[in-house]
Amino acid sequence: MAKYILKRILWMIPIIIGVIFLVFTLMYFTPGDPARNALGMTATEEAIEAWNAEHGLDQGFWVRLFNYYKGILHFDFGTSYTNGVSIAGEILSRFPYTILVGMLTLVIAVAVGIPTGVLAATHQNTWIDNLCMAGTMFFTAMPGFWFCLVMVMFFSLRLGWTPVSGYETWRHYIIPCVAMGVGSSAGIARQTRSSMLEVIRQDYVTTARAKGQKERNITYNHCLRNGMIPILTVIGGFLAFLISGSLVSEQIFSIPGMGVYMFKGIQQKDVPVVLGCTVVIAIYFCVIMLVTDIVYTIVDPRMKTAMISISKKVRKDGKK
Amino acid sequence: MKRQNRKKSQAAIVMKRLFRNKTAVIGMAVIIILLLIAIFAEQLMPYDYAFQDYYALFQPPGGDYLLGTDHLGRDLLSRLIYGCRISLVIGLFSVILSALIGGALGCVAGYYGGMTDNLIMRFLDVYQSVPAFVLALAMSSVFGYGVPMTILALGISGMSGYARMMRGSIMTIKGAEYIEAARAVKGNDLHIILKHIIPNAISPMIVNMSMGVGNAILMVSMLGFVGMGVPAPTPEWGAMLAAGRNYMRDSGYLVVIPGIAIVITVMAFNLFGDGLRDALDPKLKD
Amino acid sequence: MSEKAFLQIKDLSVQYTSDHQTIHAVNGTSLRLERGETLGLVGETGAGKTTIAKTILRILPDKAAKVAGGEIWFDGQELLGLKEEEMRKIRGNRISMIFQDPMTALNPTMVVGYQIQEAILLHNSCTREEAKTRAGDMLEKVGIPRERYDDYPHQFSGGMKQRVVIAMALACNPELLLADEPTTALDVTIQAQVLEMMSGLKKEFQTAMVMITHDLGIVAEVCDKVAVCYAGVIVESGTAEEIFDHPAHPYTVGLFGSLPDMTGTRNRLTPINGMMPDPTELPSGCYFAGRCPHATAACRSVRPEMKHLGGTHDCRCIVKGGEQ
Repeated sequence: MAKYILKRILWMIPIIIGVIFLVFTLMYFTPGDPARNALGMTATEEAIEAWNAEHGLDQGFWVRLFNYYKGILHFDFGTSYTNGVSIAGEILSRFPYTILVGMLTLVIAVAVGIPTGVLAATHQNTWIDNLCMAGTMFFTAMPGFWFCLVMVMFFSLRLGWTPVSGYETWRHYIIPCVAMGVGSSAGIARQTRSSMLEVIRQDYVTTARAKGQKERNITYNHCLRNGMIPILTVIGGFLAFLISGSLVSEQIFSIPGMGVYMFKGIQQKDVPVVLGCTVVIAIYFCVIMLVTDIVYTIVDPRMKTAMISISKKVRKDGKK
Repeated sequence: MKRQNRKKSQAAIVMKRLFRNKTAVIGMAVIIILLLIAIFAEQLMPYDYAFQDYYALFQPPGGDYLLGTDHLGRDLLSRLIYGCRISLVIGLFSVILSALIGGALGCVAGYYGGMTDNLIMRFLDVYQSVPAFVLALAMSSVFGYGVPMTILALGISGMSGYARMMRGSIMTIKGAEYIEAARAVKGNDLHIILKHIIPNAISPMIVNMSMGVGNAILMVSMLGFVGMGVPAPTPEWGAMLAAGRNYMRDSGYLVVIPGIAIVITVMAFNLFGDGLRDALDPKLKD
Repeated sequence: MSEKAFLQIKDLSVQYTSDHQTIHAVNGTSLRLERGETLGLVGETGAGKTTIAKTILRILPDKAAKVAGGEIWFDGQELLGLKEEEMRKIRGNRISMIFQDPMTALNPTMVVGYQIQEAILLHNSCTREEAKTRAGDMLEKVGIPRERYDDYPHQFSGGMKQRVVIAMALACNPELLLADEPTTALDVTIQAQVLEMMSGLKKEFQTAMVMITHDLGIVAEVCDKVAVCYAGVIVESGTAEEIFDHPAHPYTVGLFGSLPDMTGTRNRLTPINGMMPDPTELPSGCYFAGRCPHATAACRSVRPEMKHLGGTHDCRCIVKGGEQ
């Protein structure tokens, strides 16, 4: 197990190197003349050349890529084109907010999604099930940021229960996290329902019942534990959406996280800012996926054996 | 000839199943209405979507302007109708683009296997480590604004799922006897892929695409909301929400109505996609 | 016949409904079993044997299955009328069940020891530690070293898994054990081991047992009494000797005919022709009439009653019943 986790962590390194390469290459093709943008139309040729040299733009692609990797090793993402401030410092001060919003959202999404799915599955084809499924249909179709806005209109503007925007107290986080969390819980609920339905029909559930186990314990101990495995595999997909959503909700509530910074960077054509943000978010995402994977192995003792047989099978298929 | 017949009857069975599914039929009906609205947007708009009536700012719904006007006195209904075209065009074409790029990549990986497969899969691992929305953001910052550019950004950033799916289907089909037979009679690779493999791998692709449209429309609205995507005077639903947000204290309808439009559209595609999946593969249904 | 036996099933009928079809799985089954006895419930696949066992424990799928009529008396209590909470106290404690397929009967995400311990904890007021020790004892009783308590089911072979299932069923020292084809999924060599172990444990614990099987060899080996089940009805019952030495019902005779005979007097197997009647549309007369070599017009129209043949031997046949 420890070996598997270690392997997974090591596997992250080439992935991150690859991600940096991908995003760097992409951003390399950003059109426009950043020096001209930064210095204005009146700047002299010399000033522009000097600015380019300062930001390393006078060099070729590979040299710049190499320098970028070197910088990241020292946690240096370069400086912003627009105000010359260190990007690493900026990210460091903003990232905690993004993590806070993202994790709270995730916790709420899971805390709402899994019980909803279990409820729907244990009451299959009753009005409870139908209500839950109609609700998830609605929430999957709904843009999370819109739900945020509607909740703000109702709870903040109409009822005055929560502040409209800001980040100082816990009350500021209620709406962004609840709105986004409930919105993202829909997908988790649907997956939970279908994998629970699968599990409920398994023989070992009958065995547990034949032992005289209580229905509640059967559902949560025997079924959910097995049902979690497919749920975890799809949670990765929801996570990507959830992280994106939390970036947007930062924007709505003026929470000074990565989202606001990145959107501003895009508008100002501030390539290193966009690049830095994308890379950090990708790494953040990789780490969460890694954690999901580790939870996966804890939940399912067969994982290790399964992983080995799958990789064997893939190799065999590949050879064919 | 016989094969043709069997195909046809199979399609008939799928259609029959699809039409028996009430929610899928509702979804389909809504999609058709939305498509008609998008096609005949010019004829349906009561006003020009960019026409600014300075004497009628923030008109609430119900007056001369059926759904009210925004902060510049523009008719909300007309803007919604034109926005429908924008959303559908971007949604549909970006998904088609994703499916084409991803499908081609998946085909190559699955068919050739070995080193090629390994390389493409590792590339996809990297690619999927960036959330699609963030990738789309980065891409649209490179490509710039406008409908075609947004299609490009969303299309490319969303391709990885299709690639994996196509590869998976091809891996399973490849071992089938008729492919071996086609190989034995020395059909060339492209011919085998186009004639034998694609037709058999297409149905999961179609299901995924129909679900993907809803997702793409959500993405467009997210991009529009943070100020990317389609530039200002063009009424994109997300951008309309972003503009309405500043006035939601007094004119809540500016936020509520475009949101409802998004929900209805996305839900229609999701319902249709669900129905299609169940119709194509009843086993998957719970 | 009037006083209640230890386990007595009277006219039990169970139906499944799916897609507006009603499947008549059990159609008026009656059984008797005394303490410490073993009853072999014999019949082909789909005869409703498993349904009978699951109905006794009341663990049929809630929505699909319905008990249409009948009574189940267990030690003076009527089980079908019990409250769920009371029934739960009987399940796994006084009555327990061994399932057919050990591969799927164990929860793959729990260590086997815990799955045994679970039953002990549920029905006994003991601490977790005591339950754990007792679960370990049970493992050793079925021939698995105590050290394997913390292993997961996928780390065991099929035969070992079935031993775990048996340990689980016997953990609370039940008075009645329902064994649903406990050896069908196992290799022949392991079958013998498992059966031997079961008989041993049964003697040790003084447990009554219903052995569900389609293997007459197993019946001959372990059962005191036999009931032959066809299309949800008991067509013949009696002691093992009575059934084996004087099979009366044509179906029972047919069952023996499709067994290879070791004495070599007959060198060709005679299978029973045809198939069991469609359980959604049962025929009006004898259910076996369609396949019976002795069927008369009366067989097709009149449903036969159980006839007493002497001793404990009963048979449900118009034609063959009396003549012996």
